[in-house]
Amino acid sequence: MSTPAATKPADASATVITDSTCTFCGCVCDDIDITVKDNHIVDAKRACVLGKAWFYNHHADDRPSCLIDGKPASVDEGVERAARILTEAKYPIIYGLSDTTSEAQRVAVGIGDAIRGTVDTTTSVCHGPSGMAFQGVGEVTCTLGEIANRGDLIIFWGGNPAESHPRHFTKYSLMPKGMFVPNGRKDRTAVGVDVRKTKTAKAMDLFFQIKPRADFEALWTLRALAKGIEVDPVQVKNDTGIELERWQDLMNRMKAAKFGVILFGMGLTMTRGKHLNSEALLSLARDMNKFTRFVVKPMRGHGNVTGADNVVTWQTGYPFGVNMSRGYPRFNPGEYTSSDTLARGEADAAMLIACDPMANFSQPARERLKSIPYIALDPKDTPTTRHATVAFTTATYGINVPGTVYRMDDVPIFLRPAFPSSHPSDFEVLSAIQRRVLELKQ
Amino acid sequence: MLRLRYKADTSIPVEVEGLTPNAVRALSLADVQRFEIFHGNRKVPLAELFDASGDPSDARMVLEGNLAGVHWIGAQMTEGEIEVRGDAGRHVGSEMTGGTIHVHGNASDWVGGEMHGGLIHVHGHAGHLIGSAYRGSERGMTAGTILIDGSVGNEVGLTLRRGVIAIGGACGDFVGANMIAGTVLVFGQCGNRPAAGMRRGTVGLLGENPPSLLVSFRKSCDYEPTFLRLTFRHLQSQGFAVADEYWHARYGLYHGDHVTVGRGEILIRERT
Amino acid sequence: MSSGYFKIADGTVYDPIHGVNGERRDIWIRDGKIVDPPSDPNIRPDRTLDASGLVVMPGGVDMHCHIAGPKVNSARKMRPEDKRKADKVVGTAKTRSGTMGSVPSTFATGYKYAGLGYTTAFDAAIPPLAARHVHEEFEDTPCIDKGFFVLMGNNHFVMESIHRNEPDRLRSFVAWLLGAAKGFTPKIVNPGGVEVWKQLPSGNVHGLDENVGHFDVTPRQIIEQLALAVDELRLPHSVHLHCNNLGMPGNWRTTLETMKTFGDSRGHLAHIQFHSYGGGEGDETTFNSKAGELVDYVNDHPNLTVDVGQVLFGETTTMTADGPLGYYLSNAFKSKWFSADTEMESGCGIAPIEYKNTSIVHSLQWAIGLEWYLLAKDPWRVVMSTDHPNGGSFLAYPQIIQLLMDRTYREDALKLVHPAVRERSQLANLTREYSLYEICIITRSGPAKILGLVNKGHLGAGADADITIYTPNDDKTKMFELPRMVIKNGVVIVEQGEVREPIAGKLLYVSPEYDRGIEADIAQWFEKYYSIRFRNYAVPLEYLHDAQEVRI
Repeated sequence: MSTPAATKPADASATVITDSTCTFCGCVCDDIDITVKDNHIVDAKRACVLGKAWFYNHHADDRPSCLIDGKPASVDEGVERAARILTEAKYPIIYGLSDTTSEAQRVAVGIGDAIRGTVDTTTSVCHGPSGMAFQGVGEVTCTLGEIANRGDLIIFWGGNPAESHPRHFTKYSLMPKGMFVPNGRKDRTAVGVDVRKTKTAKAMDLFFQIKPRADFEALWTLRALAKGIEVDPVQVKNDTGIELERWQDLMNRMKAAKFGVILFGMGLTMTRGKHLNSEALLSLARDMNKFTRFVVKPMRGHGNVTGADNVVTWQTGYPFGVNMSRGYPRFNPGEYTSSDTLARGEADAAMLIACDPMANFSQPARERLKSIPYIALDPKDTPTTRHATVAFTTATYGINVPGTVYRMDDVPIFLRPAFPSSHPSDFEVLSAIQRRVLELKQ
Repeated sequence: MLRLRYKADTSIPVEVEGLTPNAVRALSLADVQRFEIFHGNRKVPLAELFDASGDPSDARMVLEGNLAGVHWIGAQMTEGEIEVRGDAGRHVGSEMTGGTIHVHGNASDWVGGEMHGGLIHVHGHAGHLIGSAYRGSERGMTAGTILIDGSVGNEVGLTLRRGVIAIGGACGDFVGANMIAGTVLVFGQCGNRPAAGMRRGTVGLLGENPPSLLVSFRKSCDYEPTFLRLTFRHLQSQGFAVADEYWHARYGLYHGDHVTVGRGEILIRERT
Repeated sequence: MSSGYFKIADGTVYDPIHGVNGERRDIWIRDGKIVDPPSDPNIRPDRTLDASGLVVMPGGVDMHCHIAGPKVNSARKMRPEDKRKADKVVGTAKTRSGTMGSVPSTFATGYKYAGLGYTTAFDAAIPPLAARHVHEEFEDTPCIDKGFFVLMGNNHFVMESIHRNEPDRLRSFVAWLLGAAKGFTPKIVNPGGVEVWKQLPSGNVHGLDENVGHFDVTPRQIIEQLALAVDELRLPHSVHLHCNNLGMPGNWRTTLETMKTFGDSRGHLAHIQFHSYGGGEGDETTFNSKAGELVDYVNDHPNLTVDVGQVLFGETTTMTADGPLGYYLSNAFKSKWFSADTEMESGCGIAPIEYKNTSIVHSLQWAIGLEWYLLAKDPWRVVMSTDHPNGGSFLAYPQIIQLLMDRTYREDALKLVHPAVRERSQLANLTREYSLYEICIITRSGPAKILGLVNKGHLGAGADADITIYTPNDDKTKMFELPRMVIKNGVVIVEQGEVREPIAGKLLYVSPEYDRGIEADIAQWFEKYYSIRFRNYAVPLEYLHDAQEVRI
């Protein structure tokens, strides 16, 4: 595997890099033509508004690549200090990982193994519940091209892809003229289910504005209807906010579809019920396969969170929240997941890679993080990097650094970086830390 | 009786898996003091974190102190008694097959996780996933009795496959979810979506303001179930108090979850 | 001055490719290869291992298993419970930690294969869209050389080329696709059936001449044409096929028809045990073994090879590119179910199951696997496999060896399975016992030859120095479970089950020549239907850490 280091320097005139990959969201569009001039991306053809923001907001900078206790230091010194922090800790955690290459993720898990720590990814605060649901009932799914080529009934549940994944409709789920859906949008029925009318709702043919926190009841109603169970219309209206006839109509359409698709988001996984909401949806999809082809897909947020799931799984057997205190992997969401190990004050050191828990986690978790030594790797300056004992400014994956990422449907795609960075890549820093950790462990 | 006084002051998890009455009864006190437990990723002798005294040969253990950060107490035990005088951590009595555990304090999550026999009595509150399956398991607890005097969190008895769980206080959401068999009784208030995905077994919601059930449950009748009185008697014999009003109440019987096999039942105490 | 030689002295050597049957010989190693002894008698080896009294064989070759890629990884993700109570793989200064159960994590997979004396393994079914994923997992699977077969039996371009009756176009595409993915040979799984599954509820094909809608081809055409293409390309390994109707009572007829379909083309039929069933269609009460009839056909047709796909009792995870099969199994066993359709290329089904010795069907499956080994006339064409993990774990290979070598052990095992096995199969009457020589053939020399790997499976000069040394034991399970020593590329990687030196292992692939003109055609097809750019699809050689092209 080529080691993702910074690429050769660009010259002064503009260069165009075609078929480049954007890693802002889980769409991982790989058809972006970017124009680079003076180490700056000045055009990103076909990128959506989020992608453009992603590409344009990266410039070469002269921040130090390493800060120890807030003061500039060499990367070697940072590596030494980081290795010591990690090897001395009794409950070190490694967290984040969704915005970096799989090559870097693989090294991070290796470090977690060597220091007998706990490796967790941002999955645990996002679609971790979907991962848990999948462990309960399984999942029926497909790659995005299958949706583009076959999907004729597309349901968006608890998400707002119009704003979170702007090119999803065009590239994958609504517009494409596919092999079995030659008329594109005209051959499809789009259904939205959410607690509020978002921009996505406006793009739908049917919209179900359900009561807040009633996703489970709505899914259970559909499961009952799929099975032909008689249900009480008064209760259905009471529970879900939607009349039984409308749910029945939706179920009829679902059974009549040739290839039904449900794409779901945080509205399901992060509201009351969490993994059991996801489980209800996955069960519904399974139920539907008695009648027709039906698939689901969680709408993954970050560019390589799917890669993080995959890497942690193949190396340890478990997808996230993996504890190795005993010298072998153990898995138990709620016990070994980072928001919990921090909030309960269990972690005594941390390495945070491409994430910002200082901005996102609960108060007790942030308090704990402030009180322990931790290392942060990030291209940006964030609340997390500012409080770190050792902070590495690293090159940005996909912009400066090549490597592999996994799209939301597990398809691996290679990055075509635009211009080099003076900063080391995550892979280089982590590899150096790993080497030093292994030496210290001898 | 072996007495273990917890003397550590640490927020880093301490794991005492393997420290069971059946394992220590054959050991000398000196061996017990050398028994390896985990403090985070460090293996340490028991004596580093506990003062041990007494004689383990009668398979009785008393743990004293605030053991909220001590996990796997009584895990996989096969016989004997454990008494915790204080709070206990996660996985109390996990996968145990026999013996008794009393916690005179609160316990955390996964009390009696995938238990296969014996008795656990928490005299305070407990956390989530009491008597439940661990993630991905096709079945959870298969036998034994869990008594919680206080309140608990979500997913009590998840994928339960027999055994009895009694909650004296309130429980959270999804009690008895995906249940296959067994009995869960909640004497206090109950959260939402009880017995979602239940296949067989019994969930009794005996408290005030019972939640509404999912649409896939159907009322069958009202009655005074004899088996419930027998269960109450069993609970009382194990040291769990059941107040008068429960014995002679009428209960509504609901069948479900019809989204699955649907041969389970929920009993809801009728308000007089 | 170091001579660079490593000598394994006086071992009892088995090297069937060179006809060596338990002769006491020395083996000389240098620079990772087996070499002739130095002509100058004064040259001394740097290291000599005294192997007197020990059995020396080439390293094992597992030519059909599922160990990497999206399907395997989804199975890992889906089954945390499978690992919780399984053996722990504790990390050491030299080795990574991991988990076992029916789908071990990658490092553990490498260590455990090596621990059994296996030094090469091929993943049987990869959708080329996920090739990079497999290469990454392979890099984290140490100690063994690896390769994989590329799913093509439900590939749209393949079916279209066949429909258009354009064998040249098909052949160029196959060559291009193998090179793009860095795979080893085309794999066909339930040809046409997976495409029908994608189109229709519970869709599948049930006969070789059924029509696949929209593409208007038949399974028979897919098999014939791909087999011809592979032979025209002179690939080292033949086309590799998982027949239609896997697991169905009465499916032996489909299998026999399929064997006939090959004509003179080379063909390898995978996990043939699952395709050897008599009885009424869909009727389990008449389920019986037709292994005998099928073995006879294979005995008479040297163009065909098989691997057995032995079933072992206990829990395991089924994982297959045969999408509809996954659905069927999860319903039959009432277990969780994972299914993933890969655009343009293939499907996937995963379901946990348990084989029980109280079940007539499972007992017969177990017996039929053994029948295949015991009835086969030519051990070079019947390879040991469990279709790991579908029939059971690769860790069960030592047990299978004992069942084949030790008639008493086999008869004792027979007493523990369902009694109907006695009437419905021939197993009770088969008294044959495999010799060590034959075991060596079915676990290393035969598969190496079938794969076309000229440097594997033997101990002659030029071979990779992949060598397993066993301590003889009447208990053959014990003997094969714990080799005394395992050598890979001339390096001692395992000793008595302990990993000493987890070296990386190579990726073996083919990259046949093809008419470049087809690329424009393929690019256009990508533009129209794929969700990934044509330019981003192929895996460049620089992506791979340590790869070796197996030249045609």
